[in-house]
Formats: sequence, C-alpha cells, structure tokens
Amino acid sequence: MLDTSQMVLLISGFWWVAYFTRLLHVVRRGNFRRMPRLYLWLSVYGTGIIYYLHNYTLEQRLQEHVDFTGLPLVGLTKVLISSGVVAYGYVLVARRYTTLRIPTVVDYLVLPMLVVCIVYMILAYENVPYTSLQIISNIFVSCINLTIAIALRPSMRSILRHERGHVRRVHHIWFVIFMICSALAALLYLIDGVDKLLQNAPVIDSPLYVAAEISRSIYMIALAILIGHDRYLFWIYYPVHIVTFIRLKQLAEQLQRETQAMTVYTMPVLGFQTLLKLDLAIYRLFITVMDLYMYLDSNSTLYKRIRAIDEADASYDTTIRLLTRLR
Amino acid sequence: MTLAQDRKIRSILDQLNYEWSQFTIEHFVAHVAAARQRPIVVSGVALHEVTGMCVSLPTRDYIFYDTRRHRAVQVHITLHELSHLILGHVSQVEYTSRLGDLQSILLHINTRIPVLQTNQHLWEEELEAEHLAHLIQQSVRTAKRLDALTRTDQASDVFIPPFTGDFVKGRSDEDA
Repeated sequence: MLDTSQMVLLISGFWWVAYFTRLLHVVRRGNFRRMPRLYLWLSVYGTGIIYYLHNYTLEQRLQEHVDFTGLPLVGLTKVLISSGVVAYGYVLVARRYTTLRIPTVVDYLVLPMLVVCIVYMILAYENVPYTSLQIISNIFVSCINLTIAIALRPSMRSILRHERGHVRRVHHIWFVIFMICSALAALLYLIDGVDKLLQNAPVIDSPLYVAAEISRSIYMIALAILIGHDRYLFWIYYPVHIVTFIRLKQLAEQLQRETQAMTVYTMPVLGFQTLLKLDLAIYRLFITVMDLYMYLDSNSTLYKRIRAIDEADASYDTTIRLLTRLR
Repeated sequence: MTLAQDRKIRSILDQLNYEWSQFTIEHFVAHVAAARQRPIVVSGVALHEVTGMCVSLPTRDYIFYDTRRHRAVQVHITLHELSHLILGHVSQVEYTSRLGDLQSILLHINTRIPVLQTNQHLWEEELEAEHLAHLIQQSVRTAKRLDALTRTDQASDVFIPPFTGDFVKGRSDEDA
C-alpha cells in the first residue's frame, strides 16, 4: 500500500518551490498586502502547511517534538488553520468583500464545532491514544469544512456561471477540480475516520485514507496552478492543442498541394514542445491556411467554406475551431 | 534562408531594442517609426491579388492590409509589411510634383504586383520579411504576448474567485 507520508513530502516540495517563486513575483507588484489579497495569500500558505499536518504519519512525527508541552500542539494548529483560518476565514472575508450571500446558520454550526473540537483535544490528550485523537480531530475538520462547502454551494454555482471567456474558462476548469477534490478529500477523511474508530484499525494508510490523500494532492496541484495561472493554467488544454495542431497542419498541407502556390511559410514540425511554442506553431499554421486558401479556385467547396469562416470574423479561438472541423 | 541571412536578420531585430512585454501591433509600429524617424501610416483597404503592401514616400511610409481578412491575419500582414521597412527593402517611390501621395501609391502597387512571384530578388525579400516577422512573433511569444497577435482576450489577473470582477463589493480595500 502507498506510503502517503512520502507522497505528501514529495508533492509538497514542488508545491512550496512553486509558491516561493510566485510570492517573489507578487511582492514585486506590491499589492498583496491589501485585503482581501492578503487573506488569500495567508490562506494559500496555510493550506500548504496543513497539507503536511493532515497526514497522520507526519503529524505524529511533528507532535513527538513538542510532546513536552503536554498539549496536542500540532493537532491544534492543524484545526485552527484548516477550519479556522482557511475555511471559516474564507466565509468572513467573502462576506466583507464580496456580494456573495452566505447564510448565518454556518456560524451557528461551525463555531460550536470548532470550540468543542479544540476543548476535546486539550482535555483528551493525556487519556486517549494519539492516533484516535488525530482521527477525531480530522472528523471534526471534515464536518466543519463540509458544512461550509455546502453553505457556499449556491454561491459557487453563481461564480462558476460567470466564468466565461478564454482565460476564465480554463480557470473555471481548474477551480472546479480544486473544489471537487477538496470536498472529496474531506468526505473520505470523514468516512475513513469513522471506519477506523469503529474497527479500532491500526493501519494508517488504509485504502480510503490513501484515496483521500491522493484527492488532497490533486487539489494542492490545482491550487498551485490556479495561483500560478499565467504559467500553468493552460496546460490542461495541451491534448486539445496537439489535436488542433495536427488538423491545421493537415489542412495547410492539403492547401499547399491543391494550390501549388509558392509560399513564404515553413511548416512547423510537431515535437515535444511547451504550450507556448505549440500556441505559436498553431498561430503560424492559421496564418498559412488563411493565406493559401486565397489561391484556390473560387468555385471550389473548400475555398467557399474557408472564405465563409474568414468573412465571419469570429474570435481567433472560434476561427481555429471552425477550421479544424473542416478536416 | 542561409545561416548568414538569419544572423543578419536577428541582428537587425536586436538593434530595434524593443520591450516585448509591451507589445501591441500599434505600439510596435510606433516604436519602429520613432527609430526610423519617419511616420508610418497603417491603413486597411480592400486590396486585390495581394493581402498587404508597403510604400515609402518622401515624407512617410504607408502600410496597407486587406480589410476583408480576419483581424488576426490583418495583424500578421502589418507585421510582414513592417518587416520589409525594417529590413530596408522598400526604396522610396519617385515623387513628381504632378502626382499626389495617392497616385504615387497606386503607381507603385500596379508595377509591383505583376512581378512579385516571378522576380527572384523580390521573392528573396518576401522570404526575409516573413522570417523577420516570424522572429518577432517568437519574441512576442516569449514575452507571453501572443494574445496581442491573435486579438484574443487579454490574460487577466484572475485570482481565486469571487474576489475579482463581478462579485467585488465597493468596500474593498484594493482596486476591483
């Protein structure tokens, strides 16, 4: 069975490297100290910290170093950051800075659960096996975070309906992945935690737990891509771009054969390339097609179809899509 | 395209000393005009047989693109014709006091089009101009400004929703 602590350490290494470089970029722009961006950055780094702390094995190892305090410090930190700062903090900041309506029943459910969890952890620390304490605290966190997620559901649907346009559409995809995986992870923790308590199971990395950790890792990657959107956001479209390249190249080659026209354009070659290079290659093929088709017989079907696309003067992306459908 | 030609064209591009992160076609044309110390007029017309043309008159340079083409193609045409100017392919049209700007332009176009694809020298110039245009596009791509060539949505600084755009309250401490 997968050692989830190794997986978390490996992925978090890359994640923190990505975020430090991103932070430097944002610091240069200087607007991250203002609210709500300040909160968003704090909660993102908080998410990075709890990514370690939610792993049972890693939490236990850290707690061993602070055992002398007589308190479950690591567990308390986990709960306060995860349910306090990240989840409930989001509710408070969203109410303050956005027009989203978040029902007040969230406060009546979440705050008591948070208080009960913290008090229980402090009182039970000396009397309950640490693994059981971890499981119970994770159950509390799952319940709190799922409550907030359910309360935010109508607002999230409203937000996602507004996500349109080239950049926002792909941002939408990553945001959906982020939300689904974070909710799934919370749910799996809850089910796994209850199962472990009922069975008194000593195995930490049970299948449900592993599934929860994988889900968490996916949402951490999605979060990194959402924040580093100018670099990695569009990689999710890579397979689509490969297909677009191939179809456009086939169309350009067909036009070259049929027109026998002299052309100043060289055909790009498909190799392993970054998304930016692929985008430029697609652009060059687009220009080639739009130039070469003019040399076709104006009575030919292909000429008329491409002419119709040209004259429609749709957006670049739509035009590309229409051209690839000519194949 | 030989290696020597490629090096020469790259050197000319470097000498432009342009900040690619600011690229828009209008900004780039203005930069080239300032570097040449000659105004460049870019204009769309309904062209026939060619998609673009550049003409150099005593007081200014003209670039024409076919308005019936897709707007992304119009940007490319402008870039290609601008490349001719940058590479010094365009010698000034002979100007007589009897002809105005418009007549000089038409005369130039009418004499150039018939020989474009048959004249080896002119064809070499077309290849060089397209090569420079390609190098410019690579620089634009490296600066992540490809959307300025394709006229797609600008990549906005979209942060975690709902803290941008339509959902931001007026009380926000930062600009919406």
